[in-house]
Amino acid sequence: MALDQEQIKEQAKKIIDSFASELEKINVEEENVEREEDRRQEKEPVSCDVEFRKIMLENAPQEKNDCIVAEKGKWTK
Amino acid sequence: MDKMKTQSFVEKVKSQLNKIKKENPKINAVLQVNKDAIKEAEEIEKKIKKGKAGKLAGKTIIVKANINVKGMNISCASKTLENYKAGYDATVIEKIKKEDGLILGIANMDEFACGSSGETSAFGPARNPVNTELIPGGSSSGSAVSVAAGFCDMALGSDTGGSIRNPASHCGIVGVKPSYGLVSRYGLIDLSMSLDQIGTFSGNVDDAMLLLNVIRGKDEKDPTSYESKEIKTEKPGKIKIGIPDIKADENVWALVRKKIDNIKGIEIVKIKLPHVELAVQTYYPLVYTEFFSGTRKFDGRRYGKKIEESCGEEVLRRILGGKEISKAEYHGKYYRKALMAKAVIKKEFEKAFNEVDLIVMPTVPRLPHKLGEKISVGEMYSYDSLTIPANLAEIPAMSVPAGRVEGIPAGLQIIAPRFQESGMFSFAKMLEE
Repeated sequence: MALDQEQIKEQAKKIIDSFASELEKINVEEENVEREEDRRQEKEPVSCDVEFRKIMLENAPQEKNDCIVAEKGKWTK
Repeated sequence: MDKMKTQSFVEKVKSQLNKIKKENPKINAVLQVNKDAIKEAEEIEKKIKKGKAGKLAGKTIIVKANINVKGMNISCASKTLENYKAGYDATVIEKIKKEDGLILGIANMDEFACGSSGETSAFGPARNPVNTELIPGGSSSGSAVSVAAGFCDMALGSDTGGSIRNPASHCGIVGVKPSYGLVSRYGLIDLSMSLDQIGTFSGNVDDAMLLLNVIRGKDEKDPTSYESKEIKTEKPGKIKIGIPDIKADENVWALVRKKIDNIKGIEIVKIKLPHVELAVQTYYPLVYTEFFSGTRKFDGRRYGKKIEESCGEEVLRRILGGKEISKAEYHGKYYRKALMAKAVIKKEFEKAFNEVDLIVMPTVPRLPHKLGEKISVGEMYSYDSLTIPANLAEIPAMSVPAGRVEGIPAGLQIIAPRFQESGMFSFAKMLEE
């Protein structure tokens, strides 16, 4: 059965609006966090896994000459 | 390593595979079995005999269908990724394999971890093995059911607002959500990246600790992960336990109180966590927004199907809700406000832990409903009202069996300060003994 997107959207909006109105009672100063430690340090270059490429091409809806074919403009329709 | 006197590891794996074959059609916990399991078990057994096996040798593990295991179908229990094959191992899986843990299969779950009952799976709900008419809890439903049904020794799940502790409670097993940052999330298909943590299911506290010690640690591929010390249980001195004033089924509360009242050498005090009542309202705007953002990759172009055209109702509700929040966020009314509320709840726990060592309460505020029974979205969301706070505060929490109410298991939740998993496990061990 196809889902009624409009109805679900309205329901979701109602839920988040009711939650937002309850959060109105919270009033605090915002704080920023600057992280000096534990920053990412890439010492070694990421190794390439040839099997990964093979599996991901199998996952692709369309593949041509070792490349994934993403149909141009399909997602705009 | 398992001390198997009468049964070899290969025999144990065969027996668990037979059990899955025979019983899984009734409880729908496992979506896919590792077809190489026996071959891999033989290799591990050779290592065991040579005395060169890793810490998890002899243990079998089933993995939630949102954690990548190379070559397996990681569908998130959705039609969107129905035929998706993982191209790599998540960091937790790499670590398990390195320590000779055997991945036995992939577990059912709520679709994209959106659910608290196990009922939103596109491949049918998993059933509670204690009573197959009841929900097992979710979203890591199949992982919990697999352990409770004896299909495997341990399982992995993910916990964003209670998705490990909730089904552990309903199925009567041990479920652990670690501190945010203790375990790498690399390879986890996220629900809400600022709240998700991978954690464990097991039949006992020792197995949970063993598996968590293997999977924890800093990972360059997850910049939110941290270095951590080995988790150990020890005989603690006098422990001060805080009991918050929160609403839950009175029979479940009675079980929890009885369980801790039996422990000698602890002091129990009442505490107040007033903003915890806003946990559900804080959690969902964060989840909706981050889930909407995280699912933009499921456009059907590189793999799978377009999510909005192939998902179920709860997944669509969160995507559309997240889209609405993102559109309106310039007012800071939803996501930013929820982040502020999250910070308040986090501070409230920090303050509480100045007074007490651990906090104890029921895991789930009610008993599980019957599969298929109509309950409202609000009622469904409130299942996680007691587990969400630990995710918002980024602190560890675990569910251990408290007992049964008319034959239905209920869990006791232990909550500890951030990265103090050792204290949490020490108390869990006391309860178990």
